[in-house]
Amino acid sequence: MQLSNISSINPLQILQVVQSLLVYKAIFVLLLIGYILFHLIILAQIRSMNKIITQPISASILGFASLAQIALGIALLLFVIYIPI
Amino acid sequence: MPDVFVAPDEDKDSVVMHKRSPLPTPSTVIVETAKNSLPIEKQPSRKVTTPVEQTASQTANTNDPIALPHDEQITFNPTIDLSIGSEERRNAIPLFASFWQNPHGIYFDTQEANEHILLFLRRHFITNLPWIFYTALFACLPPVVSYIFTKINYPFTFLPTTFMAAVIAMYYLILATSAYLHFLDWYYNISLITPKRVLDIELKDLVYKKISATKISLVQDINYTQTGTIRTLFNFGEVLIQTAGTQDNFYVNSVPKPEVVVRIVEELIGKGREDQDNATL
Repeated sequence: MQLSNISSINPLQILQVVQSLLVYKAIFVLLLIGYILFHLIILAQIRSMNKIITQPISASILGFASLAQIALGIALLLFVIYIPI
Repeated sequence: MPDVFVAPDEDKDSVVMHKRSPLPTPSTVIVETAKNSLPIEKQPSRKVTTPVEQTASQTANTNDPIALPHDEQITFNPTIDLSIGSEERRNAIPLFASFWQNPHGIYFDTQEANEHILLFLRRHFITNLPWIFYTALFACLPPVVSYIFTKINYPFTFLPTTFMAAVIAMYYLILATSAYLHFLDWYYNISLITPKRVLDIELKDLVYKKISATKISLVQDINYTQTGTIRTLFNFGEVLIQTAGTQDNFYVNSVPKPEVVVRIVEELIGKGREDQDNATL
């Protein structure tokens, strides 16, 4: 990019683009943090339910499913944070 | 040859009488020699047999003329069978079971030592079809919408690709969570019937847990209703367990084979009343 082009960019436009990106990122990050917390609550409930009633397989499979969804949430969170949207 | 011979016991200076084997064959001699020649710690251990096994072994001995006497049987048991028995394997409850009699591997926290579960009940799996259908429908929605918009020459090119990827990933995560919650709602709504009580375990919306129980002796009546084609076709219905006094009644929704549930609880009620009558007499 040449210096003359840079000087022709309106600083207000740059600010708008940065702000919109930040808003999108903030919304995504908040949603994903909520998602991860929600799955942690599910995991805790599964553990408490398994104390009330012990069923074969359930603890391992359901716990694994919850952990997998938490891992997916964390992966998407990292994607949103580190890759420019 | 006399049937009984007398041999001196070297340790105790006493006489021990041995019953002679019917036919002392060479095989017998070889086994005894081999056993006695081994050091004590290397001698093969004798199998500890149950009375049933002893009877079977004795029966086999009588049929086999060259068999060793029972106390001379040497059993080599190199492998120990740790697999579960056929009875336990048959009653091991599958993951998606909704009706199981005498389940194996299910325990609840207030279970007494001598209390076993007679019936394990959940809603019929067919009741999950609506949310499975909706989940599949919503899972197919993004590709279908994308295809339609491409066909009408209105692709979402004005949005950044990474943004679209994040939105679609978020959409599928929320969809998966919704399906998972529906599954948990079905999975953790359980009714148990033991010879002593009826238990109802309920988990709703992840924050509401209800565990209610009543004694079998307090159950007054039990009946079931089965209405509609689907319920008749798949044989499930609502079971109402009425209890005495101020205790809440139990509703077991969409339970498979309701007639079996009613019969089993009726038998338990009848048995409990007979026990009470016998106790008063």
